[in-house]
Amino acid sequence: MRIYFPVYGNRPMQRISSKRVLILGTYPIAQPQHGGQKRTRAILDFYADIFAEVKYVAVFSPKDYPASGRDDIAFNPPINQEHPEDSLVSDLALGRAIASDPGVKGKIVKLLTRYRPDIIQVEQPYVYSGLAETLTELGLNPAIIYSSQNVESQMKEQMLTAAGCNRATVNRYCTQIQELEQGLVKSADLVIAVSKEDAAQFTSYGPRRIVLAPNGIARSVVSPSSLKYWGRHLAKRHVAHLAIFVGSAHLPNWEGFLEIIGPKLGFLPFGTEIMIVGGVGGMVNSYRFSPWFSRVGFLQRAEVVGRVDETSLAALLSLAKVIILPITTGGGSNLKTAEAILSGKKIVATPFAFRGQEQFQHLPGVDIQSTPEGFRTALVAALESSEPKRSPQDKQTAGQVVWSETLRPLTMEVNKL
Amino acid sequence: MKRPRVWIDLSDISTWKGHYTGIQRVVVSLSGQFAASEEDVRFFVYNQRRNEFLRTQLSTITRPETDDMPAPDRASSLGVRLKALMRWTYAHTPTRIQRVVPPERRRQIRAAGGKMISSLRANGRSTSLPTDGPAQFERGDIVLVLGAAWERPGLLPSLAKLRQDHGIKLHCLIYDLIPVIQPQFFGPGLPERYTKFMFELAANSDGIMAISQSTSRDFGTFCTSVGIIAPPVSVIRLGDNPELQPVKSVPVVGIESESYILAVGSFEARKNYALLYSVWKQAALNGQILPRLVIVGSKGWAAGDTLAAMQLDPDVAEAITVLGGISRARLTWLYQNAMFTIYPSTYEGWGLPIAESLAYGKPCLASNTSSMPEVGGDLVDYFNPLDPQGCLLAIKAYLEPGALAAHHERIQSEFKTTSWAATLQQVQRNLAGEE
Repeated sequence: MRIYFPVYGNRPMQRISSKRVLILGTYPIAQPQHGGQKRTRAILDFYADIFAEVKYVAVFSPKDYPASGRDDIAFNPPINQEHPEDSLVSDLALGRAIASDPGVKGKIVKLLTRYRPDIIQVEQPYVYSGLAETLTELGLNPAIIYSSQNVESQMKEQMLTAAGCNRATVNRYCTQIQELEQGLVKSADLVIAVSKEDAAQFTSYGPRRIVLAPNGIARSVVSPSSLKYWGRHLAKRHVAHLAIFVGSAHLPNWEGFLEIIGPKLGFLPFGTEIMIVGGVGGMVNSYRFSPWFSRVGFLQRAEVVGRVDETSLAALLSLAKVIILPITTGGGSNLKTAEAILSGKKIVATPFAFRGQEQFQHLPGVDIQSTPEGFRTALVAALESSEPKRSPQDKQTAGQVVWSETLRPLTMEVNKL
Repeated sequence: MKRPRVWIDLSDISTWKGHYTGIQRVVVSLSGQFAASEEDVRFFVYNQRRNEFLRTQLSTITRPETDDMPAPDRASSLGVRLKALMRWTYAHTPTRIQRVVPPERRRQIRAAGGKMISSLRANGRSTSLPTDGPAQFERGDIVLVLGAAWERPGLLPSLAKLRQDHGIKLHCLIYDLIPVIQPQFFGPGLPERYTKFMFELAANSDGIMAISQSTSRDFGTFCTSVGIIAPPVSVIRLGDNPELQPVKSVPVVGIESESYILAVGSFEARKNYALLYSVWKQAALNGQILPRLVIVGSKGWAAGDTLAAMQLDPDVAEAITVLGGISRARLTWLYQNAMFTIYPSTYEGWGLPIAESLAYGKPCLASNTSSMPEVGGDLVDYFNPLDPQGCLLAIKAYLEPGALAAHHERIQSEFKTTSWAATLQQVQRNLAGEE
């Protein structure tokens, strides 16, 4: 039996259920990088305090995720020459492989028959397409929890459209995903939504029960050596006032940046910089700036550092004066928003970035701007002003974004299963 | 009201070798005018290695030009010699050892070598001339940058910081944005370095003076493209005659008794001497005899093929002479004795050889792009620098009996040289915010 000790949260709790839980998803969480991975990891740790046994298994594509856990099942979705865009929705193929691919199915069957979970939580809808069939074949009837940090059909629609797919292709995939999502919401014993908007959408599909558990974050510790390293790095670049933009390699992150801030950063004064951290950096690097020299201009006020480890990220957040959240699309609630709230730094954000976390919009130092002009002006003002002052009450409010707080509503609901 | 103190940056000329060319002539001429004026003017140099500003005297930095002082020879510069040494070493390394180094590693070694050369250059540009201690800038002082400041990467960020922290006013003279707009004409590294420089210059200047309307337009386009609200820009006309020591002309051996057409400007791809090669070649193939073409210019970037073609092609080798590194005295003689001048450059920020030609009373044929039509107006005839046939026709028109005499007469009566004193007045008006 594997016992998980809580990584997130303030204190370990006494386990209150003797049930075994299996969480299934399409990405490994051995080294969480993007928001979905971090959320799943947090839920896993949270459940470890509640249930007797918890296990996470991913059916994943090793091309997309080089690092994986011991129980994870690697599967390379076949390349479809006629529909190359299939690779954009490879999760569908991963889900189907549970029932159709002998290798994957064999491992899942072995897992289900040996582990005999009382509850199966499905992270995002995809694995359910193959899982439902396999459960029926095996005659197993565990309680099902559907958990998703997005309304997937909506998110994929935006993603496929942005990737240049035509309307018919977008509809073909999104209809499949929506049907899968609707069926799962209806048949699940519990649905976990991340924002009020997502909850409202799921409610329209007719769920039995639904619970809202917003995204949260883990408290991080800043290492002095990392702080020193990055401090020197910024001094070399003449950066006195740093704004930081953290985003995963998710196209809407870069699109939001372009829409709200744009590729022309000449409005930022000398001595300031936007540091671009995370997988989104790859999208910046491959962006075709036109004319050619506008890239050089962009990089005079922006620095792309890409993926960094948690220690560096903590140091950079600590050194930053402003955290920007130019988010315009996507579903769920943003982990980066929670990270920014807890940091105590100034935040310049779109209203969309605070979707699901509206109660934090009025904290000191939070500036919500819905237009590009307003956003840019607010960013310059934030870089030039002093640190926001938070009262003890404000700090307590901001503290609500840690996982142990945001996932608390799950305790009662999962115990009813 | 008391005029603010003006500080002029002399870093550029403090380490200059050989006689002054374009930009350095401007720095020396304008600095001299300032020094002789009633302005409260001081001079400084920037020490790149120590990141400090040092006060200096104009007389310490500038030196009299002698007749036989050579033009700066880029081919013998430290960077070029080091690169040549590295290439030679690699070429003489046994192949089996060369193969041990994978291509990716070779690129890294090349990049590291380039960095080392840049660093040596930057340190080499840190002046060792006597100075009067640290420059004490005060709030409201005007700092005037007239030279090639992009060669000192630390200068502009340091001035920007002074501006932010100590309230100096930064005014800069810009010559062109060619490395930004036409990067193909420059070696690797410069277009990016120059763009960074231009970005910070645009972002941190309180006022910009451009040497032509064309450069002013290019600057405006650049600012729009990178999202900078452009500082006020005014166009000033540079003096036509360098107010340096007057020189007497010295004949150039070998062409004293010949008629020739003169082209002045560094021998590099942007100057478009390839067009003149095509024109002379075409004329030779058609059996037309054109006067000798004399090109004066030290060798620059990416012009080796054209130079080789001119020297090796039997159809033109006898008709084209390329002279590099000649003294001002000989250049003066060449101007004085030319039939007319030709300036086929693809793109310019101004076009000093056009103005010089007119100042010597010599008709000029020039390209019709960028700033060049601003220099000579309708006293100059123009051709498309991408059209050899059009260029040949323009040359033939000048060779018609009586054509040159008519042009010469018109230039003598209509061309007005601009004095550096007049340029100073424009600069002063600009600094006072009157332009």
